[in-house]
Amino acid sequence: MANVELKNIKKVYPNGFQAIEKIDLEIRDKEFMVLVGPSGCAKTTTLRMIAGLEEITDGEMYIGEKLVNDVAPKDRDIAMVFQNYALYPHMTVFDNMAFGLKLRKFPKEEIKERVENAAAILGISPLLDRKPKQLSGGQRQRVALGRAIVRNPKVFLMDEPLSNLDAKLRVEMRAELSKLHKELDTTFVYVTHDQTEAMTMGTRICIMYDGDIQQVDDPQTIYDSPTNKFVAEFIGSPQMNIIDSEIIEKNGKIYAKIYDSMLELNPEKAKKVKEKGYIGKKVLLGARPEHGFLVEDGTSATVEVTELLGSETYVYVTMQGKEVVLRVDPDINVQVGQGIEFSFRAEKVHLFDIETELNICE
Amino acid sequence: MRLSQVKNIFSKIVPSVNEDLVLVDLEGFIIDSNQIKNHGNQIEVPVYETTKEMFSQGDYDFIFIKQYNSPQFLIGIKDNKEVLNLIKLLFDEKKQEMTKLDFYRELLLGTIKSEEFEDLKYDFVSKDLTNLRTVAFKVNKDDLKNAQIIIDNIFVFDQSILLDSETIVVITDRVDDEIIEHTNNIFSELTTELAIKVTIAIGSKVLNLIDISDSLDDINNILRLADRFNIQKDVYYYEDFLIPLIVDNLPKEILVKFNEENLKKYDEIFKNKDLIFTAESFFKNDLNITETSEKIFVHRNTLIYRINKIKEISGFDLKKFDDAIRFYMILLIKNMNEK
Repeated sequence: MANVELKNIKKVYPNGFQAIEKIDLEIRDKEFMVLVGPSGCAKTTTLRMIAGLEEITDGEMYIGEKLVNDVAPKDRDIAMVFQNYALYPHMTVFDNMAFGLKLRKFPKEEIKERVENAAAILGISPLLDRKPKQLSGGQRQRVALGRAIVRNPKVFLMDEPLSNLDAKLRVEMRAELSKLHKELDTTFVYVTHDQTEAMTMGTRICIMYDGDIQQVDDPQTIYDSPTNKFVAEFIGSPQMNIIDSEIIEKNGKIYAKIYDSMLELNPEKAKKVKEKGYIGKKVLLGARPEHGFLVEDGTSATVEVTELLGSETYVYVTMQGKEVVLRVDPDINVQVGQGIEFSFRAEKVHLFDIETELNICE
Repeated sequence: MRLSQVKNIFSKIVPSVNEDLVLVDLEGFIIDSNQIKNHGNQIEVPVYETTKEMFSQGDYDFIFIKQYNSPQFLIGIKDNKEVLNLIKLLFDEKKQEMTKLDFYRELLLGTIKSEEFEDLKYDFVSKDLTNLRTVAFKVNKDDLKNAQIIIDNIFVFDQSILLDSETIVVITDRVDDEIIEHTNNIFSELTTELAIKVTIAIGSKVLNLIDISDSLDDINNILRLADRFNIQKDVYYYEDFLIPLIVDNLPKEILVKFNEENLKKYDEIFKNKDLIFTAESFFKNDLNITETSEKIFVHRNTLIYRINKIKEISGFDLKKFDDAIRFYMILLIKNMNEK
């Protein structure tokens, strides 16, 4: 069992800065949990508290069934991988991978067995006699992972391990890490600021902002049903469009007003906004670019930029100074400066409270 | 062997010796003795006897205390050659204890004088070292040994010294970028491989090895400033502390006057967590709006709004370098006051 549980965890630094007011998080056994959020959201602080490198001000931390608040980092049965990793240039790959075990005085035979197993998992067995300078960037990253794997930890903690790699290699390593997670069949906790990494690798994602957890769910649920405006905007590229709107009831139907046009809400959303008393109130309407489409009687806008990506085209339009992005079929021909009308798929839009920014319909 | 060391050993021998015992310099002056009457007296030094293990001169039997075969001092005793032999053995043993690491440790502590350094460097310094920095690693004493193994494996060609029960210091002439890369790697290694907490600081650059204690003094100074100004980093780098050093050296009366004039005035900013976070992030990202807004995930218009809000309250336009510096100093002083 290697679930990790954070109960009422609070973190206040000695200078009085409160990094985390109170969070609860359960990371399940063998899952790939990604902590994602912008700079300063306390994701690394959370990871370091799991590692034991940061003291917990209040609350309880469990790894497996064991309360680890007062357990030294080295006794927590975890392994960490950071963005900076040092491979000792004068040692072979084998010695680099064996180094930590040697420091811990493991028997030679066991070291050999563990290193060879890890090398086989990572596909670097033929490289064991090489020195780091003879390796490519991806191979070096694998060796760094190998140094964590040889320890057979209950939990892997990774803090932006791919951020020093170039874009191409990062994509390759994302897939490698997902594969590795399946192969090792153990718990991964992974910190990143990159929502694409989070979406592609996590079995579940924990979105953090300003020292608090915003939402914990699987990637698809987060994408489809964000709990608030922050999550809605943070996940997805290009970002979700957020438009000032107003809920209107007319002839028994409920609409969200988008500037000069009305979008009829589907029955489910209509029921919720009515129940919650939003009729006649201002709200924020969120719609992803791929849920927009061009129509003849929609919201009027002017095309500012078009981005042709081959399989799809992004059209950046403005309406009364507000920019909106729409993903359209590449066959549709629109020109910069052209006036168009657009709308969104009603079942896919989100409505957020203007004060709390919470998703009204979730 | 330095005079202080010789005198130290001599003073430990004195209580156990009843006979007249003297410590003499090469000009023949008695610089220490168990008989107060002997202090300051001068005797004739038989320079020609330096090849002998022991020789007699007047009422005394003498031995030379040598360093690298050069005589440094003499020890004389009246009527007890056996004790003199024991003293000689003791000094020989102590001399051998002065290792390369002792030499570097004493250099770091600043206890070697320049004339002594000139003698000692031929034995302990293999190449001419210039443009040096110290890098200090502070860890729990239980982790010291393993930490040094990792440090030595990354700073492979540099001298690491155990300074005390929780500090390892590396003296290096590597270029700055390499030092920063190595220290970041060591931070990562100590954290990931050994799961230990470490404080790492890179000291100022000094031209010559004899001045290396200045670099270490600067490390102690920046760590004090980090605490004073609430600055937290994985690796503390001397050059990053220029402004805190300036503020730290401001006279107390200026700081008091500054506090009276400014802190209340900017209270509205200090109480607003978003504004402070925005200003600090803006400084960290070199006053770059796009980069800052991406890192902290606020719309650039929100970021500009907050920067304008700070300007509205304080008059400081953080987009301007001069104003940014001034506001940065105000934040430092505010943090200092909160300590």
